[in-house]
Amino acid sequence: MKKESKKNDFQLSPEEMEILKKYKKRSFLAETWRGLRKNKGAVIGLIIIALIAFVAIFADLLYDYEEVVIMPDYSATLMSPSLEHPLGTDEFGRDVLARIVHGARLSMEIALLSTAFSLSVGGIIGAYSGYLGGKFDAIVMRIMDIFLAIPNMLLALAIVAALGPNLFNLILAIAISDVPRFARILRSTVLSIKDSEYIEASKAAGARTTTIVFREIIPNCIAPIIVQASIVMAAAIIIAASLSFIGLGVQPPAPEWGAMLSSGRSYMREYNYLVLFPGLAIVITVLAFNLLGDGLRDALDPRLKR
Amino acid sequence: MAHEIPELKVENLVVEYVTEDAVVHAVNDVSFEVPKGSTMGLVGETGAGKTTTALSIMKLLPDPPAKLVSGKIEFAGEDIVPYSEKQMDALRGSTVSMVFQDPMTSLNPVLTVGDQIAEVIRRHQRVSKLEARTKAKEMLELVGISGDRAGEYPHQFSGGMKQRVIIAIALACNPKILIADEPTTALDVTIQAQVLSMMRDIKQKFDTAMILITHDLGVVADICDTVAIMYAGRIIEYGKIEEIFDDFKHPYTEGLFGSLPNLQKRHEKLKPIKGLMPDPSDLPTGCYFHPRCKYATAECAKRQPKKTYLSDTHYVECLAYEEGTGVKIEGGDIK
Amino acid sequence: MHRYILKRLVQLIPVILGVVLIIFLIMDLTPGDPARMVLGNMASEEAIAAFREEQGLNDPLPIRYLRYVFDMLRGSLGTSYRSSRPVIDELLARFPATMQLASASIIFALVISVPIGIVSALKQNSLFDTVGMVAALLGIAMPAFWLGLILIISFSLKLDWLPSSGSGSFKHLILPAVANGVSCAANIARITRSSMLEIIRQDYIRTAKSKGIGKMKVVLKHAMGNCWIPVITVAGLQFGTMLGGTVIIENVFAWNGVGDFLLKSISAKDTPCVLGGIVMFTVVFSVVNLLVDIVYAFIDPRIKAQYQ
Repeated sequence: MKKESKKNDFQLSPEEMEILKKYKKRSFLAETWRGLRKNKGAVIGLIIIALIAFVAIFADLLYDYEEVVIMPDYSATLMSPSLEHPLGTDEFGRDVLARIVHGARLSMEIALLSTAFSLSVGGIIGAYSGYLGGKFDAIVMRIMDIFLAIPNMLLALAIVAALGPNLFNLILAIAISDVPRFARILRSTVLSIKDSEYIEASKAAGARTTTIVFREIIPNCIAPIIVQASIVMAAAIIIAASLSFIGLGVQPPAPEWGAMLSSGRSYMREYNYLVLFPGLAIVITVLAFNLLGDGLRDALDPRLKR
Repeated sequence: MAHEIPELKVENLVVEYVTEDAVVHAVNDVSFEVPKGSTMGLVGETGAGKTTTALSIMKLLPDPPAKLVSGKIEFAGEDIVPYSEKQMDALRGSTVSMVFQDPMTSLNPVLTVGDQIAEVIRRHQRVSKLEARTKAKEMLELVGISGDRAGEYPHQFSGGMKQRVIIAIALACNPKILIADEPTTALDVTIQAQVLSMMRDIKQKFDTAMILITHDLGVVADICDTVAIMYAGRIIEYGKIEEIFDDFKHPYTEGLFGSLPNLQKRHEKLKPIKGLMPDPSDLPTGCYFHPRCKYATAECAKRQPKKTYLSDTHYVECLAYEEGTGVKIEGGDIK
Repeated sequence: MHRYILKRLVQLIPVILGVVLIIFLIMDLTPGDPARMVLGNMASEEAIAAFREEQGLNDPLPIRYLRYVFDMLRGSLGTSYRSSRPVIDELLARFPATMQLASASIIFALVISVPIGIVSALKQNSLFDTVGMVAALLGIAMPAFWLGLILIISFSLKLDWLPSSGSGSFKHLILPAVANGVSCAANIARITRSSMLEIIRQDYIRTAKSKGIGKMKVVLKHAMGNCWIPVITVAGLQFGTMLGGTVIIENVFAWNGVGDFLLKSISAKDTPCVLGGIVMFTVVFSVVNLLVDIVYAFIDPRIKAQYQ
């Protein structure tokens, strides 16, 4: 059933292998980019993320935070979508579109910061654990398993409930609950490349453990890390919105999407756009990250390559 | 023999794999016939198109990407190429069966071996569940496994045993045509011999027409009546076993024999064929073998050889045997 | 088989102890004096000191943790600050409602996702496949609570077909179960499709086809038999996500379960109830994962064989 292979006993000389390796290293980014471009979903995801990032970065130029996003305007409360307010206004007369735009900044901040934190902490734990092995590895991985036995949302919920609801604690809570995921991925990748020849070579050349971990191992883990990171960022946005929705995340009047849904909920019978649009913003953003994650996985996973 | 309708006849079969980037010419104009009770060896390197030929006969080609472009496949004179899936399902497992290459992966890991044998019996014979189970046990005994093991799962059997189970599945409904695709390649040498002798016995018992796909000429010598040598999707030499073994004519066949160790002349060096099988999506012009042929001339790159019959049963596709081509074979093992 | 189940049960113990420790440590960070929470702002310093002594609140953390674990073994999770009733009673009273919601969600998810995943795989790149997989991507991207709100707007407020809150009847169950189950269904549909795509290329599927048993039987008997393992793995993991989700879904639909109780306890700063609620959820999740492992053994004879 399989396509008959073209070449049977095809072997490269060591020199040829070297050339191939160099070529591979250099074109890693180009190769990924080529794979991504072929994937329609990934391209769409990337474009959407770029747009959201653009909007998030220039939110202040589009709408003034204090004047438009925070300050109530009691002369314009609960106005349906119109030319002046494309997505309507909320119960305090604030423009919903302006709040969603500034909400994008918040969501991106939360996603990026929490992922950066869990990636660096989890990554370092996992890389060292996999590299050192032995007792250290066994203990660390048992601890990670225990963390993984607690559903993400509940762990984040417990942390926020204990520390109190605010932006910083929300980011911290999401970050901590994702640490074991990165630790695991890094560990398994490290285990698979630890015994390869180039690591042996740097050991023989007398490199220190730290040097090897940072110079040799981490760069080789990039592919699985970016795939996981885009998936974790998508999940972070959902958890942040969920926690803010129940009042345990970002607090009003900050224009976090989940918090907007929470206050819009009281008016949803007559003014359903108040729950429709912030929700759509979440869906679109999360969808974009997932599309990109899928595309990256297809482009980077050598097993799926033909 | 020419008057009798053969159990299996393949005529001008052409199969391609059509992918985005290329068209792979897997089988290029292949014809042969296998009479009742006879065994044909289909010999060639990996990638020669042997398995594709076999899957075409079962009509189990993965479509897409595979396409049966043209040709006839006749079971007892009846062309099955236009048959529907439903019509084919009535034949698969009963009229035509196949033993697959890798016994380790060819059995369903979550079903008992007894179930997997009984399933094909229940499909093609009007028997009760219990009768099918009893028959499955009998089949196990036939291939040399205790019937008590019918309730066990594939992982509890060794590779050779699994291959026996697969053979039991293939033979459960007394097929008229049996295709064995490298049935012994994945097995230890000692187990190979056991499985082969078992297959020979069973074949004689049921008078089955058989195709044995292999790249092992020793296996061919053991059980085949005729041999087809395949290269790059074509049969380049075909004949009775003694015609091929004692009087081969094609330089590629010579190469195949030359790469076998000779126990009589131990001091002699092996003579492997240099080069690689051509890329089937980019076949050479003229004779497909000419880039690797030590006798090749400029003519060989231009003209595709036709079948030249050396006897009623022996033909070769090589310009050296066609008149007026000027191609000569000299100085090798070919007589 | 018994040995296998026993072994897995024994392995569960350190996990639960670890989970309790982690939650206990986190909840210990909560600012404020529990004694003052219980006795109120009017209580005298002496009363507070006496209460702290009596409850062992002055003991070091390891002692308090051990005491909590031993109490847990005796079936006690402490006393609620708000109601002064045992936390375990409060939780058990609401547990059936939560399990009802969670099981309805997972059943809903499995029933719609597995067929979609199979058909998508068999008709890879067809219109059905494309539509199904886009829908799955959307399902994953949708926060359950938002979907819940949209469902309430459409089916309760606009169409008035189904109740928007409360529990008790099957009708009450539909909207929260769908809202909670959709992302789970989307995930399972995706894994079913990708596992199925891999399985239908396996050699044993070709063997099955060569028997002439017909496509339906090849798919339902041979392919599905092997597809359950990844599907059930993901379903088990999704169950954890869903338990976390019930906290919010119960809030959206005013469903009187453990999740809703947990949220109310958080806003009332009723730490024993928060701790107890999260511990209960996590223990349930661990037990579900244990069940998943046991189910494996029934599906895959290779795993079963190791323990016979």
